[in-house]
Amino acid sequence: MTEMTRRNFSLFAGASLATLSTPLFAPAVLGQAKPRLVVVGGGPGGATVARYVAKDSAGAVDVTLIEPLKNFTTCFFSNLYVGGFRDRKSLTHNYDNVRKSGVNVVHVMAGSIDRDKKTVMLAGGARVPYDRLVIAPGIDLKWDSVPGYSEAAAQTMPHAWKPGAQTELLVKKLNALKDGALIVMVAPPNPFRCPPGPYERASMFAHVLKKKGHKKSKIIIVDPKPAFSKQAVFMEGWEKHYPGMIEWQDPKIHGGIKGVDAKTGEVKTDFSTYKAALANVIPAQMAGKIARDAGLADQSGFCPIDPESMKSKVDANVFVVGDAAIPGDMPKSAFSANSQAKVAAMIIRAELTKSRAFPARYSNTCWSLIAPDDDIKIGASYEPGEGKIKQTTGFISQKGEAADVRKQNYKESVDWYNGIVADVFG
Amino acid sequence: MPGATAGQIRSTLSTSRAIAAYLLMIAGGVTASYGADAELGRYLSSECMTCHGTAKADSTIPNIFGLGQVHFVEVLRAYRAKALPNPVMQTIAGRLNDDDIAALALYFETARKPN
Repeated sequence: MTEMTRRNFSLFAGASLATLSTPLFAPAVLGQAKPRLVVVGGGPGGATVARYVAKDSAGAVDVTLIEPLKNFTTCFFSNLYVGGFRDRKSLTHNYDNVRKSGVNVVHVMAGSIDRDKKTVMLAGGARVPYDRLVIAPGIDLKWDSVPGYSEAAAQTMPHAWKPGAQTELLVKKLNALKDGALIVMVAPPNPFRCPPGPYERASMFAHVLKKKGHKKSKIIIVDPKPAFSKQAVFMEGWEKHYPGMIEWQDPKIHGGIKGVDAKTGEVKTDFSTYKAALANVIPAQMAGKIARDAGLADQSGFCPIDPESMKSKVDANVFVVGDAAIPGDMPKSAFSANSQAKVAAMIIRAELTKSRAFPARYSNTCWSLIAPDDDIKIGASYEPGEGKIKQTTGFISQKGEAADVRKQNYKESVDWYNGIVADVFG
Repeated sequence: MPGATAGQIRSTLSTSRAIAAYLLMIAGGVTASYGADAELGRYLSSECMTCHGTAKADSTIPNIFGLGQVHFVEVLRAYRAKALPNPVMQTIAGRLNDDDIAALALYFETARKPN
């Protein structure tokens, strides 16, 4: 759900609702024929739950997916678009095959949830009753986590942490840079969507600048964290492919991020003020608004879940999957969301149709491209344990790996992309 | 199964088939399909579908639909034993017990690949 659709949706809600087919709301009016699953959010978490419940229940569950976008551009692999390895069209998917799986897909914005009445209120006023609800709204940004940053400031200092217009703005600004330019990235604090993402993005910035023949341009990452995902192999790759171009500063080096000024392009730390030709400010994050408004989030801004089921800890009829959830040891990634969705789908089907339930299992792998054919990965298996989703085994790319291993990783990541989008969108 | 092409899998299978068949025999004589839990296989297969659902002939991640059960069991056990490379598959297979693998083998031999 992009910010643009959030802001503009109400303008179109009435028109969209006028086109809704009667059967969507028929059970509430005519008496319930089938148990009803409603899924809010059509990304890798939500669309996967909807599709798996629909196809595995073979029509025994009435599944409705509420997603305002008719075409969903994936955030995963968007860094490869920044680097020029993918075009936007290849990252954009429609819901035709989700419908063919037996899901009622409704392109409207879900406005709020009445958990007492087990109803989702759509923008425009329509109500959709549910027996089980899945919330998968992704993230919202904590604009004020970086002093001086705001939704308006993002028009000149893009975050590009949600796909769409922000990514386009970032690419436009990147491609306009002249040699000698300074890029400053403000990295986010934990927890955030796609832990290796900022560092893969910095790699893609460097790749673009190198390809254009830049000799003097520089990328500074000011990071509120003392360490980051796949750090050793990223930093080895930066020195190998872009020597001296990328400088990562932890809090000991910058002394603290003091703020940004969208008018001047300045990024201020305790020790320095940088005037950036391109400032990429990625603020702190929290669960999407609809989840927070429904009282599903805790003080962290994210939603606690039961690790056995992905069920919300505050409402047994509601499941939260993907970036909005508190996933224990799992990172916030599309792979994780897709994995969590399958556990949720299995449990929901068991509850609504008395099908068998199995112990929850989760997995994740994140690939990151440093330079052409130099791709690194990290992954793990997870199971419920110690009251959370607990990592059981894992692996990570090592420094000094052979070039053919890294090239194979890249090919594997491309095949994974094709696989997961087919799994999510059909 | 990332990291192993279809050809590599066939090659590995040809060299390990006899050993695997022997291991299956001494493990209690349970063949891949006999007693395999089809419903469990369907659930566990969802983890595989994240990567394997669209595999093509030249994919790094191979097609596993229609793979014979004995072949499938051999490959998964080889990954579990880290006898085949690729940490993704080693990690996936690492928590599968023999019943899990048999259930998956049954599923993928008989299930239709998504269009």
